[in-house]
Amino acid sequence: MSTLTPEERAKKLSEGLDYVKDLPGFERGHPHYFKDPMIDHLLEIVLQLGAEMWIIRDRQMVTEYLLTTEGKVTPEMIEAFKPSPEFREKMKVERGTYTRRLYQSLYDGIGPGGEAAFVSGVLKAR
Amino acid sequence: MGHIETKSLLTRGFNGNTPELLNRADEAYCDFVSGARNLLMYAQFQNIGNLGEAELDQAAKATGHRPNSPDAIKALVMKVPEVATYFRVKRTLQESYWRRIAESYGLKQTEFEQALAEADQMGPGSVTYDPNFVYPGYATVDIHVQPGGYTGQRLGALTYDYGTKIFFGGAGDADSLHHSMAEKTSAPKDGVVKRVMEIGCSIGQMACGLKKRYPDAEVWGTDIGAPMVRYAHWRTIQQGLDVLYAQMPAEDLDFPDNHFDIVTAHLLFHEIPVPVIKRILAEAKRVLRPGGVFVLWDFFSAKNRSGASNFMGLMDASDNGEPFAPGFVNCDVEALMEHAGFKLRSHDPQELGRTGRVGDKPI
Repeated sequence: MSTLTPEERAKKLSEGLDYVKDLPGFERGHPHYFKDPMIDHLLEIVLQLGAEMWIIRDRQMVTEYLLTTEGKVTPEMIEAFKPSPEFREKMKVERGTYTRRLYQSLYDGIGPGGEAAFVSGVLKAR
Repeated sequence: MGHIETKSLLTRGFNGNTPELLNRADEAYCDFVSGARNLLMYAQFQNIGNLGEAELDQAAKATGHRPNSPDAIKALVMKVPEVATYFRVKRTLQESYWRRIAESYGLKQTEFEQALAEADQMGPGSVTYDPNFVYPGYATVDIHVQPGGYTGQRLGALTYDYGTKIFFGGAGDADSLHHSMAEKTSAPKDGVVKRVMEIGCSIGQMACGLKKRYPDAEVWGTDIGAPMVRYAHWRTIQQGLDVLYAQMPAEDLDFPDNHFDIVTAHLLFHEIPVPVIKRILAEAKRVLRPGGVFVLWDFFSAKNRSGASNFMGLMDASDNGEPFAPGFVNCDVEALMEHAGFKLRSHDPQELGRTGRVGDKPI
């Protein structure tokens, strides 16, 4: 084990690292990307609204599923609901359609892009 | 408060090895964010990279000078509406999921903390950490814009677990990426594997994969963050695996010389400053036995990436809490490994874009 005090060890570990305090280019706080920050705020609001609407849609889909399969639904049943792989896939497809419909105009000028997945989108482009 | 049963703590169970969020609404919110990231970010990654790169090329032609500071680059490329939109969307989605995950688990903050405290004393495996540890500055950054980063919140590792599930857009569920990399982590040439360590192990996904691959070996996971190793231990107990976790800076390990057969690091080096990388390489070589192997899993170096990809990497550093990543991708880590005394193997196994550099400690 290290024989140094915690403070001494931290000082030793920080030796020669003064430059990291500046973190050049690192955006702290809440940056905006448009000249008019109100555009940033509006986009944020639109994304949050989309998320909140999806929560309601998700709940509706689960409710309908439970009513169809169980004949009844309670808040506890919704919370405990574990979708089957098929139902999970159905929701994923529904979510994709919903998201495209809401936001496709954002990138109208540059087209639909590539495959919507981390693996193909980011890594294969490196 | 009595003993905390995992079943009563996680009423909605697990998703793979990751605890489910505490209510359906939070899960649906994060599903939306994850899907939106896939559609609005990952699908547009190449388009936006090309747009940014073209803008920088044009500036270079017009002025004879290519902007290279993050501020200058941003001032230029954010004039393109789609580029500004992309980074606005990215930042908002990133901030949104951290906030929602923390709020969800925060509903049972006290119970989670008690579960971690109980796990501290339980097996299989073990965890050691220093409650009085003082972190060096570089380890207190809000990496990935996660409030508190890897070290500043008691439940930060739990939040990080679900956050990385969203980050990978579902591609890493059930620890599949980490276990795949554990399978592909090169072994010493003599095949002897008695002790293995993952440095910067975070929540222990790869350490568990290594334990599955080498069930008879002593497997260690070390990390500078106490919240990380404590949660890694709790998470590993849920899987019934015997992994030893310890809070240790990778550049100052409390192990004897020539102790390990394999030391590996996964996505650690791009989160730390280059001087620390050099110290870690020296320390890894010290604790490896002659003939032991160091395997570095991390991003490709800038020299092996396209201009558009490097532009996106620079933006990621600035807007996604990756302040040390540009230093790493430009540092020629292969040369640093050789300088530390490793003999590099010619073959680099690759897994999902993270290149595995393999260095043997000479006999």
